[in-house]
Parts: sequence; structure tokens; C-alpha cells
Amino acid sequence: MIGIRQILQRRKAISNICRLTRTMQIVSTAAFKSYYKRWLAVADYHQALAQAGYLLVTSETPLEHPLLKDNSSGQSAVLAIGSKRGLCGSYNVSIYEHLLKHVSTAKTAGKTLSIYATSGRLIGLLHARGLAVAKIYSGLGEIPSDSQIRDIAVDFVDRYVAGQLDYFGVAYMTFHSPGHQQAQTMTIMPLADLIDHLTTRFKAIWPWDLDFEDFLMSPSPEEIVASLAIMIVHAMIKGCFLEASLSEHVARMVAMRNATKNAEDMIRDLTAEYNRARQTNITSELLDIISGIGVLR
Amino acid sequence: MNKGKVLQVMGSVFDAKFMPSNVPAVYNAVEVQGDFGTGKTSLWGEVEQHLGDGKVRIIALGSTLGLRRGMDAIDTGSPLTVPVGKQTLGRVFNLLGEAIDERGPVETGTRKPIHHLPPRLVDLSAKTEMFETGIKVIDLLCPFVRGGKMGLFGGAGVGKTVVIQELIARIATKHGGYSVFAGIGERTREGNDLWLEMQRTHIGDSKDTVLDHTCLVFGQMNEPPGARLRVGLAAMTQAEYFCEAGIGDTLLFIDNIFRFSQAGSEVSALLGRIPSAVGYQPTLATEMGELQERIASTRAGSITSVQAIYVPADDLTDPAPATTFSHLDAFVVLKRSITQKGIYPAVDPLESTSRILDPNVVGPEHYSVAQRVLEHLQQYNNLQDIIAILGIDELSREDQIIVARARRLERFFSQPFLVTRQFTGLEGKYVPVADTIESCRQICDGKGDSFPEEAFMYVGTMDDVAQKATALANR
Repeated sequence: MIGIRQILQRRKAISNICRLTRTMQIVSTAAFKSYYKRWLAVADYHQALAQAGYLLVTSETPLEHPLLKDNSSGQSAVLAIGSKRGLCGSYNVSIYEHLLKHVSTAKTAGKTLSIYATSGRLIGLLHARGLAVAKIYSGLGEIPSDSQIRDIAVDFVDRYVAGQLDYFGVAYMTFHSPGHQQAQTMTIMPLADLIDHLTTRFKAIWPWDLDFEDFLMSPSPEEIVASLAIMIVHAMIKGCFLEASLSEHVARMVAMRNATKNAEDMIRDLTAEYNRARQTNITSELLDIISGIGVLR
Repeated sequence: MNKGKVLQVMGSVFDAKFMPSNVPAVYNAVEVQGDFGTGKTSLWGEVEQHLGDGKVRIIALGSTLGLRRGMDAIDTGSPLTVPVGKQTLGRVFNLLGEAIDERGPVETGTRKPIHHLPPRLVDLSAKTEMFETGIKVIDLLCPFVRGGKMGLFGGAGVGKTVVIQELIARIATKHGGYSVFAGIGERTREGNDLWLEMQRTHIGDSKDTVLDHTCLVFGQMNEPPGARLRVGLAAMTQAEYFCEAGIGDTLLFIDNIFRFSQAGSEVSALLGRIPSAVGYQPTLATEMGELQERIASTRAGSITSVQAIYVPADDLTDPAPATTFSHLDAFVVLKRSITQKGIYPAVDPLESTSRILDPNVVGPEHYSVAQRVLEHLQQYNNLQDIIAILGIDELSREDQIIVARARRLERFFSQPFLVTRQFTGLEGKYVPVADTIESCRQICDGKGDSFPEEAFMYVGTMDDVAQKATALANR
């Protein structure tokens, strides 16, 4: 029999952990709700952008923009968004495993892949597993500000335009429903791929479903394309961060719910063990006394 | 002839009355003669208490079926004696020294009393040397001592008897001296299995079977408590003779020493002693001491003993196993939680230990590797609650590595046994201690990190792990 004191000590330690995980669960649930609202609101905006983008790429007069063109520099870049904090289950491991797919694809295609990542737990994991990180973005909040997004985007856009980069994607945890999140990559550049992806993803209303004949572009198609392209890039990168945060809170909520349940199970088992140990002690003490008296009589 | 009459019968204890001037001494053997109605004509007993007025209280050493008041009790004038000497080898005895293998009576010139004093302190040998078993976890973490006492602790059904039979197969087949096996209060079938197994197994490359160098003494669970209480001493006496005769190192296997304590407790209640903690006899420590102190290595020769110790309700603090603890040089604790993982032998690395796990005896290399292994396993043990609650992903990177290595070490300590080949289909593995140390050092250094955990199950050395990992990958 393990000492009664040890059982009590262990039970106390576990109930402290349990209290902590339960609080974390409540906090994450609240955060999840607020992010979910925001995500729903942003979805409309993304849909409108996707629609506009689709009209652009399918317009009769071919439009020229460097972001729409493919190039073959053989250099690709992936920005991985990890969790901001810990205690979110296998969130970062999923991202890491997803990155491995990029690594192997790049290898078979004979391309050079550079990985960019946000600071946090993911970095430690990548270092430990021996994946080199080209740049770590630190100081970002849960959702980076517009200027931070611009700083991130401008670098990749410039390199793409200069033909030094032929692929840029954001690897993050996509949110499909509260019960389903998946590590995926959103292709940002080439932009045509992004627009393609968005139209399928948001089920954009196809142009032929819309009741219009033709449209006029003002000031000039080129200017509209230039600003719209950058706008889409920025919006989508920011969208990825928002969705990643949303998924992170769901992941933490689920992880903490499981942890709380596990801790409660352990507390229940330990309580049973404690009661049994206490009862055994009482019984054996009583038996000793009773049998002693019985013999003396 | 000192003759008395049976006065009172209480289960397996009875009283007899002798002439007050000629009372048999304590521990003297008494034979009750008469017709027991089942074809039996005699029953042996041992005097335990003097009740005054010529009355003595006697423990029956056989079944009291058919014992009646008024039967003749004859004092033999000495404690029970058993035949000793080389003629006893290859034979099976009960505690009275009667051969029970139906191969005819045993004629030896000498019989020795089962009760006598332990060897004197000045005669004890102070040599300390490791005794290799080829079982990885035992050699590394709880190395056996030549001439020492080793205990195998375990609850019901965790594999004590299998380990002790494996040790017989491993040690006795390589061992030059003689062995004595005492079967105390265990399954009768196991005694038979062991006897047959010993006839099949040969010592080294010689023609001699293990049985030819072994003497077996049985007082199994079908016997009354008096027999189970004294059978250990009978086996002890035979082992002592080989040791004193300077024949060489003698091995003594006892399965199961707890039954000795249990029999003592049954007898004690019948003798009217006040029970002590948890209902055990008040003389538990004394009885255990009397037996254990005689298992000693003297300058004439050594007795190396391996004892299986049943742990009631898996509780090591129970008085019976706790009293045995203090006599032992090495403890091998078998744990149910480890059998549940499918790891055999189910040795608990953290609770098992040995007196000689000391750099001065086993060498600094062995000691430091053993300590590193224990650190890994201890840390894994400490983290187990956190892993159970939060999952392994929440551990720091360093802890994750320690957990991965500890899990590999844990599995590496499983080992195929020689005696279980017919059940597992795996060839038994003998791993020299140097290989065990080297393999464990490599695992602690992370050389095994790339192999799957399954590759560490039931293999010999790290080379086997690598081979098994390749086989698993190809499958």
C-alpha cells in the first residue's frame, strides 16, 4: 500500500493542475467565441475580394501584372504560423508535419525551400527536429497589425516581382468547423493560384451566374489590378493569422478539456485508492486490537 | 524408550503427556505410532512448547487425519534429521528425509539435525564478488552476489516462479557445484514440472543432467503447516552439508519463502500465541532470522541463495516481505504494472537494488551507466502524471528526449528466457554484463533514438535492436 500521505499529496498536486486546465479551458472558449465572430465577418470581405479577383483573371482583355505571372527561379518560401502559447495539444506538431510535406515536395521538384516562422513554440520544435528557419518573425501579436503585415508581405512580393521567388505560401492551421482543423498551406503567390483557391474555397458566385454584360474599369485596368493584387495578398496573409489564432484557441480548448477530464479521472482514482488505504488501515488496527483482546480473555 | 500419550488434538497441533521427569526437549522430534485408519502407522511431530506437568505441545509434520487421543508418542531424543551427502543428489525428498520420487530409499552414512546454530561470525567469509546471470535488467541494476542472498519479490502471477526456474536453468547449467531446491507451499504441479525439466537439461556440454547435481526438497501447498514451516530448514541442512564439506559453491533456491512465514502464522495461532501486526505471529522476525542466518558463506564454502517472496496484495510493506528484506543482498521486485505492458521479466528497475551496486565492487563504468539508466527512468516516472493529463507534446524538448529513451530502456529490459521458449517461440538470450552495460550506455547516449520502440522488445544487445528495427522496417 502506498502511504496515505503520498496519495493525498499526489491528489492535491493533480487538483491544482486540474484547476489550472479548467481555467485555461474557460479562457480559450471565450477567446474562441470572439475570434469566431470576427472570422465570420472577415469571410464576407474575402469572398468579395475573391470575386473581384476572379473577374480580373477571367476578363476578356488579358491583364498583365508581375504577381500573376509564373516564373521559374526554383526558389520557394513558406511562412509557418505556430501557436502563440503552449498547452494546445498537437497544434505545432501538426504544422511541423505539414512542413515536412513541403520539404519532400521541394526535394522531388529540385527546388530550394526556405521556411519562415513566427516566434513561439514552433521554433523550438523546428530546431529540435533539425529544420532550418530562414527568418523568425517576433513581436507579432495574436493578429499582426496592418503595418506588420505589410512588412511581411512587401519582402516576398518584391522578391517575387524580381523573379527571385516562384512560390510563396502560408502554412497554418485552417479552421473548417469547431470539430475540424487541419494544417494546410494557402498559396499566396503565384496570385492566380490564390484566386483559384479562393473561388473554390468560398464558393464565389460564378460570373455567369451574375446578371451583367460587361463592366468598365476606371481609372485604368492596370492600376486596379496593381492595387487589388496587393490588397488580396495583404488580406489573405492577415486572414491566415486570424484563422490560425481561431484554430489555436479551439485546439487549446479541446486540449484543456481533455486534460481536465484526465485530471478528474485521476483524482477520482486516487480518491478511491485513498479511501481504500484508509479503510484498510482502520480495519487492520481494529483487528489487531480485537484479536489481542480475544487472546487475553 | 521415552514414551508418552496423545492428550489433545487441535488441527495440526497436538498435546502429549510424558513422564514429568523425562519430558522431550524443545524441537525434539516425536513419532506418534498406531493405526491411523488409512494404512498410515506413524506421524511425526516437533515439540514446540512445554505446558508443565509433563505436557508438551507438538506441531504435526504431516496430516493429522486419523490421529486419536491415547496414541503412543515416542520421543526420538533429537531434532528431526535428514540424510545428507552426495547420495541425495538427483533425488526428491520430503522434510522427513524420505525419498518421494519412487526410486527407492536413499542410503547415506550421515543424517543431520535440521535445527542447529548459524555459523559463527568469525567463520563468515567477507569476499564480495558479482554473480552474472545473463539477464540484462538483473545484471545491470540489481547484480547478484556470489555467496549472497537474493530475493525475488512479486504479487500473485507476476512471474516469480518463472524467474527462479530461469535462474536455475542459467546458473545451474554453468555452475560447477551442487544445488538444492526447496519447494515451500507452492503448486505441487510446479515441483513436478521442475523435476522433469531438470532431467532434460544438461550441465554445459557434459552428460550430467541438472538433476544429477541437484537435491530437491518439497513441502508444497498440499502439506500441513508444520511441514511447510520446517521444509526450508531441511533443505537448508542439506545445502549446509555440501558447503561445509568443501565441495564448492552451493546454490540454494527457495520457492516460496513467504509460505514459510504463512505456515508459521498458522502454527502460531494454534499454539495460542497472541497475533501481532496484520495477524502475523509475534515471532515472525525471529523465525525468519533463524532460517536466513544459516544461509551464509563461510570460509569452507559459500551458499548462494535465490528466494522467491510472494507479496500479499502487492504490498511490500506487509510484515512478511518487509521482514525478509533486511536479510537480502539483492532485491528483484517484480511489478504488476510492468507485466501489464507485456514486459517480462517484469522487474521494476526503480525498486530493485543490490548491495553491491557500488563502484568499488562492480566497477565505475557499470555503476555510472546504472545510475544514468535509473535517472532516466526516475524522471520518466516523475513526468508520468503530467503526460497522463496534458499529453507528451506539452513536455519540454529535453524531457521528451528523456521520456523517449526511458521508454526504450524499459522495453530493452525485456528478455527472452530459456525456459519459456516453448511458450514464446523465442530463443533464450544470455547477455554478458559487459554487453548490457555497453548497450544501455548507447541508449542513454541517444544511439537508439532512431529505432522504433518495438525494436527494443525481447532482444539481446543493441546489435539485435538494429537488426530487429531493419526487419520491422522491411515488413
